[in-house]
Amino acid sequence: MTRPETSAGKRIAIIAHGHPDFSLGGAEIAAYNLYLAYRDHPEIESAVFLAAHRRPGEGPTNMITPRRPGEYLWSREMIDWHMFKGFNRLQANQRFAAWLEMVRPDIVHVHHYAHMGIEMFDTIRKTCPDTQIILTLHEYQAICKNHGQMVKTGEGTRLCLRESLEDCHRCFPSLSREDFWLRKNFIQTHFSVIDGFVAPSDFLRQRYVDWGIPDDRITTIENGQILNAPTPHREAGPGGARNRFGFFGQLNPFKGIDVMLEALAITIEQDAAPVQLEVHGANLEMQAPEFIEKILALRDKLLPTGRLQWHGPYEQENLAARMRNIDWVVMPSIWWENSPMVIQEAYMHRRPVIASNIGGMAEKTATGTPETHVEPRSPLALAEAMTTLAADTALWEENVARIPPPLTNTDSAAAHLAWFGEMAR
Amino acid sequence: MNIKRLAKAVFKLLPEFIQTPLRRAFAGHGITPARAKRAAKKDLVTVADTADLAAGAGAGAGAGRAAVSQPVPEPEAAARLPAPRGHLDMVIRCPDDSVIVVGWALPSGSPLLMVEGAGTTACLTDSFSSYRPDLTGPFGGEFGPMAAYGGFILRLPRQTTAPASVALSLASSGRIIHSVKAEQIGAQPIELARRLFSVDTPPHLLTERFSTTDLPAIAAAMKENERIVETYPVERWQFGEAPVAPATSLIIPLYARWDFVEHQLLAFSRDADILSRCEIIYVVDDPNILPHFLAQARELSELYGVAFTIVWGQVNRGYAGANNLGAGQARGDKLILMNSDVIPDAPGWAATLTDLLDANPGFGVIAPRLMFPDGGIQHAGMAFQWDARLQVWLNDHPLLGLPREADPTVGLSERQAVTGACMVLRRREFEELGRFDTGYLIGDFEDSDLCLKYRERGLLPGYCADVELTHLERQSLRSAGDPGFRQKVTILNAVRHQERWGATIARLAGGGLTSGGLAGGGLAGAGLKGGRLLGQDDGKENRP
Repeated sequence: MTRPETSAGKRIAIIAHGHPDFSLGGAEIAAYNLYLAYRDHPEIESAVFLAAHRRPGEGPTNMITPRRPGEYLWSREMIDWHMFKGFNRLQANQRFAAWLEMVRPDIVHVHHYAHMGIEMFDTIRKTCPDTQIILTLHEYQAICKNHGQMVKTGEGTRLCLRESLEDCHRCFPSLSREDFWLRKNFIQTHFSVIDGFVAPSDFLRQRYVDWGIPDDRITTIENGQILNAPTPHREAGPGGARNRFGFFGQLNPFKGIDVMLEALAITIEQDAAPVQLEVHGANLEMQAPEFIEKILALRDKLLPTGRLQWHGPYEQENLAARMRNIDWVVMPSIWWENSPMVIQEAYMHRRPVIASNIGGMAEKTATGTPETHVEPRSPLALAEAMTTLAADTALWEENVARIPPPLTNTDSAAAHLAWFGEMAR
Repeated sequence: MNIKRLAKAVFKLLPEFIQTPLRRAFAGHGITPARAKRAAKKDLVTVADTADLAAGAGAGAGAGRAAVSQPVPEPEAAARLPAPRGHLDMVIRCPDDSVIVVGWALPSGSPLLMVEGAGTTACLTDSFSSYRPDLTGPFGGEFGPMAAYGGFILRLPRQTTAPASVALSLASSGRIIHSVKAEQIGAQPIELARRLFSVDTPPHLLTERFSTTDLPAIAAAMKENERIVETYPVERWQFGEAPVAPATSLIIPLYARWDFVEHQLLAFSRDADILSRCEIIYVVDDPNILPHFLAQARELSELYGVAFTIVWGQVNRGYAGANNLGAGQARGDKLILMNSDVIPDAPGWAATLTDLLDANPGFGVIAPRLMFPDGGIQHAGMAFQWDARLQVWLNDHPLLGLPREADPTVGLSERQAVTGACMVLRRREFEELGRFDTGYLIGDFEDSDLCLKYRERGLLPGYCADVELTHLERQSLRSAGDPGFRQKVTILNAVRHQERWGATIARLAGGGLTSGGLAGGGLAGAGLKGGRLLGQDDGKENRP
């Protein structure tokens, strides 16, 4: 199939590793929001959304079936997470190729290859030789075997700034340096058919440039949001206090929930300002038993003080309600992050953010005052930041005023289409 | 009875560590090893000739053979020496009817003891001593600390009659100390090598021992094995459609690991020249991987759109045998012999190499630069290097591990030899030269051996610095036995290599490159001198 002569009337396919109907990760939501914006864009003739899907109690059938008009589910899984090889690749490729023949996309915008298999890029290239292939990188999985976190394995989970055969072998001694060369070479060779890459943060973009993606083939475009009306700020506490902090997200070691709870304990001990914390967290039950035990012990010590409220996971729809009593959102992650949705959501609801001063978090909270940027992994630093910010109403107002305007999914789609045009030239 | 042979054995220059215990054994008995040798020199024809030796050492070295039916009365002095002891641990009859005898005997290396098997005898002075620390406990008191070197290995050459058993006996009286039935090891060279290499000879004697003892026996087993393997059928499976008349055949043996195949196919899938002009032949050389590879082959071929052939010769044939098998199945005028752990970094490499061979008829074989995964040079040509410890020529890789900046070579240039990990050659010449020599155990030295065959024919081995591939060296050999065994295999093969090419190697290592390191067409080159790579731009200094 050939590309249309004009830039208008393009057919675009968006492929993601999950459908937000079933999987609420930031990347899935970003991909879906972008799909909605492409669909409504005047230059786009048609947009379709294909999401990898795993049905409970069922193996992958490799079939692509409709979810609703324009949206498809692909029953798919991988068999090799070391090199992202899909299960039953021949059959999957065949069904995927048939779907591509039906869709006839001019642009295929892929948001992940995990859960689907990295061979999908060759299939797109073979089936649609003239199609522009774009990949948005949402984490560091191609660079880092440790769940794409760029954090060292083992005790202490130190931050890692760059991969090398030597470094990766030290994290995974059972795999040789040659194994890591093969992994990288395998991924990069598969990436060679991709026309352009998108990174949601400059930090992530630079990691991939360091890793080997040519500088001129990767750009930074922020994930767009579907805007909701901001939840009104709560009435300030006694003396104008802005002392209510909220933690939103997964309760796993990388998100720093333990640092958060330890910091709260320190503020209580120091008693300089009455810091209150609300935890809206999910998936604690999926963590290692020692971690669960540690978090529950910290929680149970703090609950009787009245300074901690422990809420469960939240749906996208009740986010506004969960924000109601919060003055600040805290993101104490101990890994780099990329473009955290939590920061975008906080800003959309006009809540300033306190975040670890590293990676994507530092980049996305750069407009905040210095007090809002804290040393990661340091409960004391976080405690002091919260105490300072809770005691100073002016700082809260200043930080609210500094919140950047949100990027809509329509803005993001326009930026993407401009980049695709640039890549095609 | 072969008195002459026996005497010659005694006369032989005794290694120092055998001399030492001998000197100790003879101390105070009025005889020195020098005298013993002198005595031996006289050919030891009669009992009388050896009387002084017998009187000193307690028994006649060699004279004992004459004394089998007519025992020499043992002089009184002998009573003060401990009675010789010994044991035969392993007696192996090889396919060429020679017999390898392994055991221990004390005093170590003594001329007083001999090994006898169906018509042939050998004196222990003819054996190679081996380290047996376990002997010091029970016998250290009697025989001194050198009892630890009481082990021995020796070879009884081809017999006229197959020996039923072999005996260790006293040279003087013929009294049998221990006798063992010979065990037959036929076409199992690796098994034979494992058994023989378990006998621990000091490193400086290893090459001599291998040359006289292990190598002839193992060579016979290999020959026998080859004779049987030649009768096996060769199976072929085709996946995808190969070019009808391929110009080049890629031959890639697979041993132990086959997961590299996918990485190679991925690279081939992006190489228009390979897809249109080359046939790819994977020679499975490992029964353990065949079913797994066959099960995956169709998927891999279809997934990457690369056609290939799987060739299976029923048995592990080693590097040379596998490549030779593949060559026999090839249709291209040119062959690229390639290891499975060599991964191309960019398309066009095969075309460049074959074009270069076409343009340079004076070269018989050309190999590219190979790089380790972490960016160091793995191959920039090979140079022969004398190993003073092992007393043998080995193949060295100059610049090994250094970044590519260390190699100033541009274009094609002559090397003493080049690697078989990736080489291009003309099929006709390869066939005329008899393909790879299959006399090297498991794999080693076949590539330099082949290069030396080309040289003998007036064709040069060349190194092309402009083509670069990644070599995950030795990944596939990790599972091929313990390092001690591998090292001994290397020494064994080095001994064979040297026996075939010693003079040429010495000349080349001394700086005698044929062409002065230059290919035709004004290509710049690098010369080799004294095993070191010297870079030049104009090639003038290449003639040493």
